[in-house]
Amino acid sequence: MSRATAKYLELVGELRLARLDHELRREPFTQDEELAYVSELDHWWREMTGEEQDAIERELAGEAPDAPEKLPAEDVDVELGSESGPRREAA
Amino acid sequence: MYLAAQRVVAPKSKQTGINAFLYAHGGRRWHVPPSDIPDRDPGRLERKSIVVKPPGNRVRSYLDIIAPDDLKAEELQRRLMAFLRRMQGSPFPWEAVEGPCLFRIGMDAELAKAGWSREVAALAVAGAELLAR
Repeated sequence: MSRATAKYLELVGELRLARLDHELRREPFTQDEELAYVSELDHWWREMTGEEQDAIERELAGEAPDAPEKLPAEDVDVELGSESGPRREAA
Repeated sequence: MYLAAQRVVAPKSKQTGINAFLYAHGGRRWHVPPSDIPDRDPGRLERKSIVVKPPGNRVRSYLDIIAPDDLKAEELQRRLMAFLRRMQGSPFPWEAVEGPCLFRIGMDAELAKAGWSREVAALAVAGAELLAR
């Protein structure tokens, strides 16, 4: 992987986390903050070859982390003061 | 404390929502999360926020946070973000210790594909609202 490709992917991850961080703090992610990421992403995008750009687009299109089709869990009714967890393995 | 937020779907009505639960551990203190929390000792349930009435709903995603009761909210969020930075890109479920906290996140493939960070935000906000109540 070229340096430009690695930096681009790293920045995509950082941008996602920055948006999430703002959401959790209930603060708007300002246009200026977004633009700072976008201009750096543009820079590294231009550093890549066409082939690398195609590969990145493919990677980002199917980038969701692997996850099971269904979680093997169901919830349980828990009363205040009780000492059992909120879910168990599904029957 | 053990804070659990989980998105559930009712098997018949298909109603979906995030239920959250806050357990306390009677003054237990730690620098490293105890290995018995939450699976062997979830603690005593102090508060809950129910959108879809249990039991028997399918769990589609969850966020579990085990942290000292007196940890400040800002510190907890910083630890959560550090955990997410480490885990993003790994297959679900995610589980790791971050300082005095243990985090666990799981979700099904449909939610992950629709945007895992949006789902984590929804779970974390539901948990934070219960914590602030």
